[in-house]
Amino acid sequence: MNPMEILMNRIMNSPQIENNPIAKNALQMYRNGDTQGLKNMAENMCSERGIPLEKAKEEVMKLFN
Amino acid sequence: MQMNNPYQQQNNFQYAPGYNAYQYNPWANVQRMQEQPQIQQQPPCINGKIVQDANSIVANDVPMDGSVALFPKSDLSEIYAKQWASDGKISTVVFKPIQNACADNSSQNEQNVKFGLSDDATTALDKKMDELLEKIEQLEKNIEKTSSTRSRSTVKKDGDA
Repeated sequence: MNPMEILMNRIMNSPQIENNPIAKNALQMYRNGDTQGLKNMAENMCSERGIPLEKAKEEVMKLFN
Repeated sequence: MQMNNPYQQQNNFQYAPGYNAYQYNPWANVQRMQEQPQIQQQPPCINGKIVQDANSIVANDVPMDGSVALFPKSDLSEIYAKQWASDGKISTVVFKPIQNACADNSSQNEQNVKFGLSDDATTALDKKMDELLEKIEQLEKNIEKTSSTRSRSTVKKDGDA
């Protein structure tokens, strides 16, 4: 088991994540390499909050300069 | 010259109010227990607020920790239960009140609604009704025919006589 897996297991087993269906699902998808699922989730969350996708992408890209 | 007078010694240990370090106080334990801060378990709080209508609920009103937020309408005609689903959408369940007078007939009404809503049942019943109406019409025509033939035959018989 590599350190990344140990860290992931620790995050997954924390009560904050276990009781949060969104975070749990996101981590599960990240673990499985389901990028499309993660994208869909992000799009859904943006639409629920009324944030345009392009604006959200711009904000994320700003973080990486 | 000092005299060993026991009465003098007694005088040394005078009662000093406020200094009770070595005095036995039977209420001390009780007082200590009362002074300890009591850790009260807080009841689980309910997230949500009273809203005018469903459109006034925004995504920020729904907690992202997976718990359900309840939003009663101000006129109490509906209660919206909202929760973030695992796919990143907000799932909504609407609760509507049932009046006491209607509550008794609710099961009967449900059956009626189900019966009325099933299209197959209504079409089948319509067909059967149409068939029955056709048969009744045929029977009426047959009865009219037979009655007319009988009346003619009686008229002929009278004419022969």
